[in-house]
Amino acid sequence: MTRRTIFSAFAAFMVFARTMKGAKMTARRPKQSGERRAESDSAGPVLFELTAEERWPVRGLDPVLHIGGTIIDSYRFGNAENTSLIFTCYDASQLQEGAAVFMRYGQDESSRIDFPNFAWSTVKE
Amino acid sequence: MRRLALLLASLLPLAAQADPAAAGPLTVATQDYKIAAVPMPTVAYPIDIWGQVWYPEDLAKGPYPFVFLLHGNHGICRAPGSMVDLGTTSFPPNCPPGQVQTPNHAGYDYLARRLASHGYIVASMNANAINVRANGNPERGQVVVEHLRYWQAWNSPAGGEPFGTMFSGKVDLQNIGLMGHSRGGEGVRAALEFNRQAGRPFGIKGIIEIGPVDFGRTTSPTLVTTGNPVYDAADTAWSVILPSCDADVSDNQGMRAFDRAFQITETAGPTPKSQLYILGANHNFYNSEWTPEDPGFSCIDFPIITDRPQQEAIGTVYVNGFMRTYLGGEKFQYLFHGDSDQPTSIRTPVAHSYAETPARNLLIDNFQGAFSPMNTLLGGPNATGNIAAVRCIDTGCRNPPPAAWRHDPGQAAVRLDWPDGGTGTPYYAIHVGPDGGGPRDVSAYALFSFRVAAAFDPKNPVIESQNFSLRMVDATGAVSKLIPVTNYKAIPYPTGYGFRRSVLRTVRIPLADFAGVDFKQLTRVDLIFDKQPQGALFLADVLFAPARP
Repeated sequence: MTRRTIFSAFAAFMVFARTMKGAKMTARRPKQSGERRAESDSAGPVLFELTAEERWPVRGLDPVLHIGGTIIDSYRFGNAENTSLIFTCYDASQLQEGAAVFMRYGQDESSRIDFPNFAWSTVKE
Repeated sequence: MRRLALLLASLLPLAAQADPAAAGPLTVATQDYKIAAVPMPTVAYPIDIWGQVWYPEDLAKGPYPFVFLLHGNHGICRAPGSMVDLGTTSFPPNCPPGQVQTPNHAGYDYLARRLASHGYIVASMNANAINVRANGNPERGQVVVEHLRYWQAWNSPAGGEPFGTMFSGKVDLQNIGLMGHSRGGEGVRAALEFNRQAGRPFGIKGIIEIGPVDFGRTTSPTLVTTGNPVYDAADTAWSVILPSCDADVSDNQGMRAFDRAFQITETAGPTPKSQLYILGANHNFYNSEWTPEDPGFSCIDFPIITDRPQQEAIGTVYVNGFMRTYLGGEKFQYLFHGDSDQPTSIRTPVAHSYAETPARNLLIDNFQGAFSPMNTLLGGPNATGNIAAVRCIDTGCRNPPPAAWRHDPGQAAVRLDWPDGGTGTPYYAIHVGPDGGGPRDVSAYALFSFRVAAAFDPKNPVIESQNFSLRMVDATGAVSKLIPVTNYKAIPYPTGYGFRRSVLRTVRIPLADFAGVDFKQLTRVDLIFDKQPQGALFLADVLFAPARP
């Protein structure tokens, strides 16, 4: 192996990620009065709840949910155990069908957790 | 292993220096304080003015300088006896039944008590009321200023509850130092700004930050824009401690604030700025209430400090040394410019960056100019031989991951890669004179200074330091002897958490070491890459600086 090959292998090894055991995401629209919306109705907020078997840490960097190019940084804990983290997207029109979804703390790539691509059909009323 | 040991030995202190971590002569007392439900203009609910103060038991010898500490974002509730801290689901934040508030502010007892023993009044604020939410750093600054207003009242002849007149006339609020950790770092910088906007009612003489965030400077389109202003540390002495193994603020955002120190406009001075990149240190061990780093965490190349007292010793040396230098007028500047060995209680390498107040320097090049790197900022023509010299800024300085360049988006550098296909000795000659190639009088300065970092590149040695030589040339053609840069600083291979960061460090060389040239008519500084057959370096902020303070 050349020095550069060894170097490249070493470099690839060094990018690592932490995992959150049992991390899952669900999406729902907050209850409101009136007729049921169409699935892709862009009005109003959508809540994304990230759950895991371990607690989401409180860090200097904020957790941020990325859905395609949409950045969702409004969050709160969903339970006292901190195993639920709820993000609010206030403008659902920004959500693109099929967009890649991940959460990470600030720019910390090692904290990145990927979820299935966004689908309106998974958003519960 | 022997080479690694030799490198580490070259980085570690060789001789004992005065150590500000030593206990002082005064007996220290401490007390909690809490004023419930105080309305704050930018917080949606009233908050408690809650903190702890450490002070010399004999207050009769006051007034004493005042040091104020601010922790960062962390869980705010825990079960009694537990160190597992949690966020809450409600605002205003209240802990659920069976849990108690985390005393985040008490985690600096180890350094506060020691500092108070030298004649300082030290208060640490609990920020739980504005924790576990997005951003909140301008609010942190507002709450710091509110605490200072309470201290102003407690320092008045009338005093006030809960202290009565105990502190009346004992607190020197024109000689204040702030310390902020994590989000507390940007928070105390925000407090500096609010104090400036209010006409500087409080005399903030110095700020030191530990692993701070810098949310106001997240300009990349892939980042969250917090809307925070960019908070700089103008008109005050300032230092930042960056843990190389920071698993929380893992992008070492505090280095951006240091980078900006070279360009800020100041009216007071001199107010030096410094950066201390601590090899192996982590984020949480600077607060004794914060549990260890993320268990999934590991640190590349350098072992993380697992011994909490070792890291607390680092916090004590630099925080106390900072306050005793810039508030107390003692002579611990060596801790911050890094031109000499660090005290023996610092058992890990520290990479220093240091900047005098910009007006005190003669800046030759910061590689911001349109014709950089072949002309300096002042216009002088540079020359190269068998080396590729390419200016870079922000993302342009980044290699593919895991290499990382975490400097301020406005920080420019020249990247030097050698050899460049030739056979001659590679060199980069920096002209110090004005446009047209004439000489410059630098005799009023005492030091030649620049910042340098190794790139994450297989051309660099992994174990030993990168190295090159410097010399100066004057208008008569006289040439100084060649000096190896490693006589002053090592340039190690990039390390860091998750990514290999190229962190610029300052090299300061006394002009006296370039004997043989006339500093009244200096023409150029030559960087000659004769020590290693190949390499890749970032070079930045080339300047002449005044004598050491």
